[in-house]
Amino acid sequence: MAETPTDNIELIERLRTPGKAREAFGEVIRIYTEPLYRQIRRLVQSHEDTNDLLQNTFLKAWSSLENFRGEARLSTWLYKIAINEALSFLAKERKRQGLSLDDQEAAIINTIAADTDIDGDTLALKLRQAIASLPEKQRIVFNMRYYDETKYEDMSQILGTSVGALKASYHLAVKKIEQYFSSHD
Amino acid sequence: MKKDASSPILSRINRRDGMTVPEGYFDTFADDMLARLPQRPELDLDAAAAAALTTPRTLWQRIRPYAYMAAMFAGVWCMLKMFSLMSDQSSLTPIDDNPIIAEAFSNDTFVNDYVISDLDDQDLYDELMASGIDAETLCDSLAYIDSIENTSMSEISPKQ
Repeated sequence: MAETPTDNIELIERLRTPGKAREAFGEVIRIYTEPLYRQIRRLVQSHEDTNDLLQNTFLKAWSSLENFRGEARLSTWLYKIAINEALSFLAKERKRQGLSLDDQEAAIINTIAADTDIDGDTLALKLRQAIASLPEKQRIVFNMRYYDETKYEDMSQILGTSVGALKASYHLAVKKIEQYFSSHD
Repeated sequence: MKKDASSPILSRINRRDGMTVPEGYFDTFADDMLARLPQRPELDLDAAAAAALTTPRTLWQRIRPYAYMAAMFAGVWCMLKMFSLMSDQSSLTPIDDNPIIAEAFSNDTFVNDYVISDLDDQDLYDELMASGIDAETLCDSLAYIDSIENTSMSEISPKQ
C-alpha cells in the first residue's frame, strides 16, 4: 500500500479546510494515482476500464470528503473506495453480459492473453492469468499481499476481514496458483 | 524486490505485474482529474467567501419554524375543542324524561317479562346478598309464608 507521506495530519487538515481542500486533494491524486490504478487494473485487467474506475474513485472521494473522519488512514479509505468500484464494475458487467463467475473469469484470462499493454514477461503474464482464476476476494488479498506487500492489518481494515482469515486466504491463493502453473505447463 | 519464499513458483517470479500504461498516462492524469472535479463551494471557498456568497435569509425563512409550531398547537387545540363539543352533545337523556320508557317500567308485566326474566337464580342470590338479606333467613321466611297459606287454605276448603 502506498505509504504515508499522505497520511500525515497536515494534509488531512488541509483537506478539511475550505479554500485549501482542492489543492490538497490534487496532492492526494498525484500520490495515489499509480497504486490505485494498479490495484484496480489487477482486478479488471483492461486499461480503459481501469481509467474510468480510477476517475470514479477520485470523484467519489472528492464528493464524500466529509465522510473521511480521519479515524482510518487516508490510504485505507481510498483503497476501500477503489476496490468497491472495481467489484461493482465486475458485478455489473456479469449482469449486463449475462455471465457466470466462471465465464467472467475465462473472459478476464482471455483479456490478459490479448493484452498489448504488457512488457513481454511471460512468467508475469502467466501469473496474472493464474491470479485471474482465483475467486474475487482471494484475488484482492493475493494482489495486495504479493505485489504491494500490504500488511495484513491494513488489509483487514480495507476488506473488513480478520487477519487470520486473510492469512488463510493468501495461503490458499498461493496453493491454487501453484496448481494453475503445474496444470498449464 | 523480495521474492515469495513460501512458494517455489512464486520465488522464480519478480513481483512485477507486467502491466504497462500508455506513455505519459500517470504524468497527465492528476491534472486532468483535478480539472474534472466538480465545484464544491463549501470546500473551494474559504469560510468568509462562502459566507459572503450565501444569500441572507428572508424574514419568512427565519420565522417559518415558529409559525409551523404555532400552527401545530392551534390544530391540537381545535381538535380538543371539537371533541369536547361532540361529547357534550352525546350526553344521555334521563329515563324519567322519556315518557315511553317511563310507561314501560311502570308496567309490572313488562318488567316481569323483559327485565326480571333475564335474571337467573344466581343473579337473584347475588342481588340478595348485596342487599344484606341472608339466604337462610329468606328460606325460613318463605317456608313460614307457605305454611300459613297452606293452613288457611285447609281451613277454607270443605273437608271431603
